[in-house]
Amino acid sequence: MEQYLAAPWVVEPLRRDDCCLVSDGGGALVVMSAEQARRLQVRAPVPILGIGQCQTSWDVQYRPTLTSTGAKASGEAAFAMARLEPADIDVAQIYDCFTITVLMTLQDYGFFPAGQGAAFVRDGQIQVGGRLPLNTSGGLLSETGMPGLQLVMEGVRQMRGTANLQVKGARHCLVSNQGGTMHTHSTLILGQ
Amino acid sequence: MTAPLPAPEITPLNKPWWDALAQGRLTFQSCSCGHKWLPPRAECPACLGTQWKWEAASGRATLVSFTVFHVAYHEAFKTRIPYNVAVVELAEGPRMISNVIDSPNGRGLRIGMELALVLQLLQEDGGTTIARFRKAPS
Repeated sequence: MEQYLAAPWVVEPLRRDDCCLVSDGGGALVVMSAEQARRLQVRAPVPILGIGQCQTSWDVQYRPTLTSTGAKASGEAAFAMARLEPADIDVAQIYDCFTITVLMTLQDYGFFPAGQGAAFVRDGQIQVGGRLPLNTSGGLLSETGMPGLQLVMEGVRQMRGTANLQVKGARHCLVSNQGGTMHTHSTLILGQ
Repeated sequence: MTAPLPAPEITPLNKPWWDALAQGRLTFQSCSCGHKWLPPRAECPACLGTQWKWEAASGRATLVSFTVFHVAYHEAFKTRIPYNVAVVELAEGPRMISNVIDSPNGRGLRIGMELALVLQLLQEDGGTTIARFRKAPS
């Protein structure tokens, strides 16, 4: 924490360690129906249990509120499709372009009441072994700023049980993504 | 030596807005559906209609949010940091991104505080008139 507070401001109130790197990269996923996966005898297919999307506005100044995003509507759609609740999620890969984005996204998903983010994440609660292990391959902040697909890939590894930082017994993984200046959002719930 | 700010890209759509600023008026678009907005768009962001017209703003506004830049991402800003970037809401409803000029480092700014329009002619920056804000006199 001392090291964090000693780092210079970038755009106040964000310091250097609040901001992810800008990285180029590529990734790919093969998406198909469950029936097709059976027919092709795909090894360890990972089912999509729920998806949701939302666009709140065309640009940052049009956003109806700056403390909530499309994570709310897209999360509700994904949870409803999967017939799950936040309490059913064992591991999550949350789009973390900036640290604040993670807290806002988890709040909109309903993991804690408004303003309670600090209590939810402190004391190792978002590490492996905590109540909601997050970004187990490092996310944008610590793995690569290549935005998005690496979070889905790590979600797939968690559901297959092949992640380096594997969450034991994890059955449901939540993945978030967003675009623009937090005015588009998508949510994915993976299962086994 | 301070590098000039990059000149705005003038398009047929935004030219009336920049021209009005040069004549001392801040304008915004107002749709027949009742929605009002900035910056200039060809379609209403609320109803996607094209039946809109330009209206003049009173210049009264409130501060919605702000950040303070401590890193220059363009040559022209190297001698201008720190400076604030603010989302302000005009009394008529549209929101725009601007600066609050009487507190570049953001000290003393409060979300929700009242602001007043300042039109600044930036001679050293190609003669562009831009819309900024200052704290409203209490």
